[in-house]
Amino acid sequence: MNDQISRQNLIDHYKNPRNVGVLKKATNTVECSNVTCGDEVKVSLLIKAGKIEEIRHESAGCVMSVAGISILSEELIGMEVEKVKKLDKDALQEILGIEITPSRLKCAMLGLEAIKKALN
Amino acid sequence: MEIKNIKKHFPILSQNPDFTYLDNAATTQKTKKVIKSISRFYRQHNANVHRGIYELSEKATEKYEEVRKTAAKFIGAKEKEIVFTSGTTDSFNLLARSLGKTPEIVKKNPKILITEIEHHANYLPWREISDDIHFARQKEDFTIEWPEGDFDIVSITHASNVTGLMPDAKEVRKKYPKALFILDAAQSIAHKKIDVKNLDVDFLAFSSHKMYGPTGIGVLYGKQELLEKLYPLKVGGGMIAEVTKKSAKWAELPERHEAGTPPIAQAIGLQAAIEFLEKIGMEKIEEYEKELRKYAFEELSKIKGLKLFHPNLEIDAGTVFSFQLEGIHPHDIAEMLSERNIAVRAGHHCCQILHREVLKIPASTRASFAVYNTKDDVDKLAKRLNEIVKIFT
Ligand SMILES: Cc1ncc(COP(=O)(O)O)c(C=O)c1O
Repeated sequence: MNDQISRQNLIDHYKNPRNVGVLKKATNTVECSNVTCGDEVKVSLLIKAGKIEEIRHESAGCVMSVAGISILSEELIGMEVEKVKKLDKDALQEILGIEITPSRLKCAMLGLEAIKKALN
Repeated sequence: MEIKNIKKHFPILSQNPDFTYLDNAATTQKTKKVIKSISRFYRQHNANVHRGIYELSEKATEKYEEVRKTAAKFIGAKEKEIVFTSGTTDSFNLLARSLGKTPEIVKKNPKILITEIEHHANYLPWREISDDIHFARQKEDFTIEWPEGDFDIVSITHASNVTGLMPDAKEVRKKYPKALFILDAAQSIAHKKIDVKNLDVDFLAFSSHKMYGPTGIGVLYGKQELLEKLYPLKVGGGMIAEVTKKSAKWAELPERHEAGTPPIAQAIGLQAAIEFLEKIGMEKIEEYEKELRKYAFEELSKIKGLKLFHPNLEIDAGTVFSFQLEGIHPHDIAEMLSERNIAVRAGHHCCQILHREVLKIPASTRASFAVYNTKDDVDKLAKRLNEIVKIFT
């Protein structure tokens, strides 16, 4: 079994999440949570010309959910909205650089689900 | 049977020596004999019970009824007082809904006392028959504050699946002498000697799968005179005396409350599980686990930033340890323990009231020990928890 969480990258994003806050000029916003485990995320996006220009988030929860949205807030910048809407678990695994186990799927997907929801 | 090296009786543990299983409050591992007894039943004795007039069915019936005898003896009950269910949850659903239809035993919309630490299995079924439910509070020291007053039903856990607390059931019984007194023994049955007469309990429920037996079977114990009066909630085959186009008469105990084909093979497995416990001896198990509890309590208490939701050693409790590590989510703790092949559980453990309204946290991490766990398992857990704390600071 490999140490997924212990990866320095994830822990680093968890301890110092990037792009924290609320975008004043946001075009899309959403709040999502996983009730059973208490993970929460608030996302605000700035969309320009069909692309994601900026992402801000405020999140609380486990490494998977917090580091997940933090990494996405960097990686998705400049991506076309239509492409983001198509991102799935496999794409997320690639972006996060880890294998997501079934029991952590909900945590890991929270950020992506929130962003997709904001886009709809 | 010696407790030392007892892991060798459990295939999952003996085949995976590096696996540390600490999720016993959820379900225990099964002994070789339990597993074998089930396959032997299907290979050699399989037939439906009660109705077949041929040797195989008679044999199956005999074996099934023998389990009832074994289970009765195990908790100091009479055979007729054992109702086989599919587990503790099923027992509570059956009991609550049946009582809701038996005004001879308890009045409509009864006044019910449970505690804040109950598993949802000993809360939600009562809501189905009453909106007058009272919660005995958990105190700072994880014991229960028993309120004054009269209740129609007092239904409490015999051992908490979160804090491990084992309330003094006899004292609680004395405090509410007029109430129908019910115990949830899901977490105590494999760890403590239970005698229903001595406890003076009216009903008691437990699951086979938390006592080294198979899933799919459990017991609802009830005093004979109560089970005889209790409305048979589940109707169908196997539980009738006579059926006409106009009427139905119910069978006597124990068939009365067991409609349909029962979990026969599972019962056979439960028998092997009870025999396993008896071979070691419940007193010896209690003694061993008390020592293990002390060791785990002391070792876990040493970990920086770890908050234990477990009563002090002077207070009676089992080997269930729920905890919080400051700033680290329970799911992360569980996954990082799993990275070292240590299995624990993270969540609310079906006790949302205790977590959200009492402890004020959404979830905790729980390590729960069984008779095959050792101090070495505690050391492995503590070592990894210390590493986790370091990774996060
Ligand atoms: C205290 C307690 N009561 C009831 C139950 C329910 O048991 P089962 O899931 O076997 O019906 C459990 C098990 O999770 C438990 O720990």
